[in-house]
Amino acid sequence: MKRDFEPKITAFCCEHSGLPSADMAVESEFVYPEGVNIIKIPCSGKVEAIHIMRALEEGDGVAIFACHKEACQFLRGNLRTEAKVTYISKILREIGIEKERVQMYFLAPSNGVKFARTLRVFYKNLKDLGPNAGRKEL
Amino acid sequence: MIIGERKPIQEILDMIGEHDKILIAGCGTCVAICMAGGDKEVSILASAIRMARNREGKPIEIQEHTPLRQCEWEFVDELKDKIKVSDTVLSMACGIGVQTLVERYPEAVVYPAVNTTFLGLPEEQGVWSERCGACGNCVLDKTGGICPIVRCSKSLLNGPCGGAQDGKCEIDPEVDCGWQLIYDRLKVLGKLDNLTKISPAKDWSTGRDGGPRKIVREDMKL
Amino acid sequence: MKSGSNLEKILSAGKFAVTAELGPPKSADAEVVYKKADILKGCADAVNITDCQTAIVRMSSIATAAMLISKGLEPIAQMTCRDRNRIAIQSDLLGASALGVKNLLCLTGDHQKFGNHPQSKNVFDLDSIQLIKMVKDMRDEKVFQCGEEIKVEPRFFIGAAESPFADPVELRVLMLAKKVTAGIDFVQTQIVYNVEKFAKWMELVRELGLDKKVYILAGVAPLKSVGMARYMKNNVPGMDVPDEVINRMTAVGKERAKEEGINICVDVINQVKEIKGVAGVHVMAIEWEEVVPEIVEKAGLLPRPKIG
Ligand code: SF4
Ligand code: SF4
Repeated sequence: MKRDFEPKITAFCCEHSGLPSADMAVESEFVYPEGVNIIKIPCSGKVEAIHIMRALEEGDGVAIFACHKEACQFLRGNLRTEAKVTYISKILREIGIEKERVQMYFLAPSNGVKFARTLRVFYKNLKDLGPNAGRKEL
Repeated sequence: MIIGERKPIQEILDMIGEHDKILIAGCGTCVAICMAGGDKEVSILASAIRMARNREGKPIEIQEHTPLRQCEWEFVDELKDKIKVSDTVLSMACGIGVQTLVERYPEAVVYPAVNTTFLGLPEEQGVWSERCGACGNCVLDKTGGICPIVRCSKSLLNGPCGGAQDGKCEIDPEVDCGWQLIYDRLKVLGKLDNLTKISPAKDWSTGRDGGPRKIVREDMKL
Repeated sequence: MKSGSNLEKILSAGKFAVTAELGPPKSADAEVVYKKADILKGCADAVNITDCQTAIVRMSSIATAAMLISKGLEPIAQMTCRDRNRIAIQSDLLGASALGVKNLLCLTGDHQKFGNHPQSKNVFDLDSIQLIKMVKDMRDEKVFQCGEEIKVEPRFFIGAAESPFADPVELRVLMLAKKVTAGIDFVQTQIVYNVEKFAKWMELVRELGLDKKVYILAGVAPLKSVGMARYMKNNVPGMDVPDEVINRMTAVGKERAKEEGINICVDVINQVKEIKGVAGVHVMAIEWEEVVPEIVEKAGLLPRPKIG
């Protein structure tokens, strides 16, 4: 059962870092898991807690790709997102869902290698965790 | 405004018990601004409850609605249809909102999802602090506009206790000593004289100690 | 005479007064009280009995005071605003007076947060100034706080505590002045280690003529160890322990630390005695009461005078 399990991932990608990296990964044919739902955002700071929660309700894991800490185009967008992720981790702990299902990654623009590798590792971790128990019945 | 904080989710889940059709009612005024019970917080709580219940294999149906204010009859009237089809209502308003629902919908089961904590203001984004204890007999005129009832840990009216250190209160080095603030303020105002006058024992009967309070304005009644 | 207590007599006769302190037990054990009373007998004019100090439940101050009276000591009952409203305080004071208690120290009280019942509700119906005023009106105007007449009034020699070292200093002197206006007869200060700073505070006090209106007893306490000295310096609000004192404690080494602590205490007594306006000392040796006779003796304050 667990073997056939294909984690459903949503990746929020900041258009200044995550998105160009994703594009580059595709162009350079760096392999990352199929079926990742990539959502483009103008800044990681635009992701609201509720977006992350809803995405998790519909799937097994949520990744947020943001610019390096000192490199946010909007100064502190990524730091605020990090705080939101911490807040969500707390909620997940309260309801007994593994907090590892929501991850934030910082990367430079056009780091296709890191983008692909990160998602592969995330995918594998989610596979080990198994399906999200809080996920909506399909 | 009224400041609140969401209760721990487990406590909320325990209140809901076995019910599987609930309404989460937020409030668009104070608790929305202090990010405890506005429409965003309603959605987040709904999502968390759904996931928690899915995990237990007991899915739950949740409706969400956030009127502009939960402490006025006309605004809570819009919850009517949703309340009718829910077996439990979780209110994310302050305690006043919860009781407004209870009074308006006596047949509904209403639970609080927020702890109403104090009357205060957002000092800065993400930080709220207490400013008034609704004592019913304001003395801000004598204290330079700083409330001794809630900003002094002991509600002293005649000046600081001996516990202040470096301007901080004896209960916590993170808490400003209310009387240090009052002193500094009166100094700036050139009104240190106020401190030499003895404030007589306060009449607490205008506050909660006098029993439930009510104000009636005949001129305003219809 | 205001209450005719021994302490009042000593002070009004112009004698240098000595008060000590007794911490009631955290139990119903009367023996503990009697043992401490035995130690303190004859070496202090009156003995403070703390009222659930640091918000830890202990035997009642007034009950302990009555036990002291039965052993021939004079108590100074303490009353804080933390645990009782004006109804309970006045009721307890009527009882205390009927039991023969003649001195009362009026305090705000430590917040319950650091006590053994941090979840309790506090009262603070009155603050210490309002408490002082109430006790004085009960004595001098023969009225309860509400204005109703008292047929047989409780008569106390009224005291307060004051901290010369807490910030801001101007405000602390002002607070003392306010307590004087409210009606105190004597004041016991926070423990003095920094005599120089204390002398400066006394200067301010004299400028306002407060030393003429109330008797000022300087608080003193023996240090047990360097650790205690450091702890007090860093953690006790309104406490000023100068490096010189810490150095003296360090220099003698562990074995002789207690002895040096006593020496320092005696030195402080001798120094404050010389400051104009100081009417006595208040020796605080909580849970180390047995050292009080030695300190008082070494300071040349024995035997205690007997007045009428
Ligand atoms: S004095 Fe009373 S009414 Fe005025 S701010 Fe303080 S608690 Fe509120
Ligand atoms: S330290 Fe200041 S705020 Fe705290 S109880 Fe004392 S006077 Fe009040």
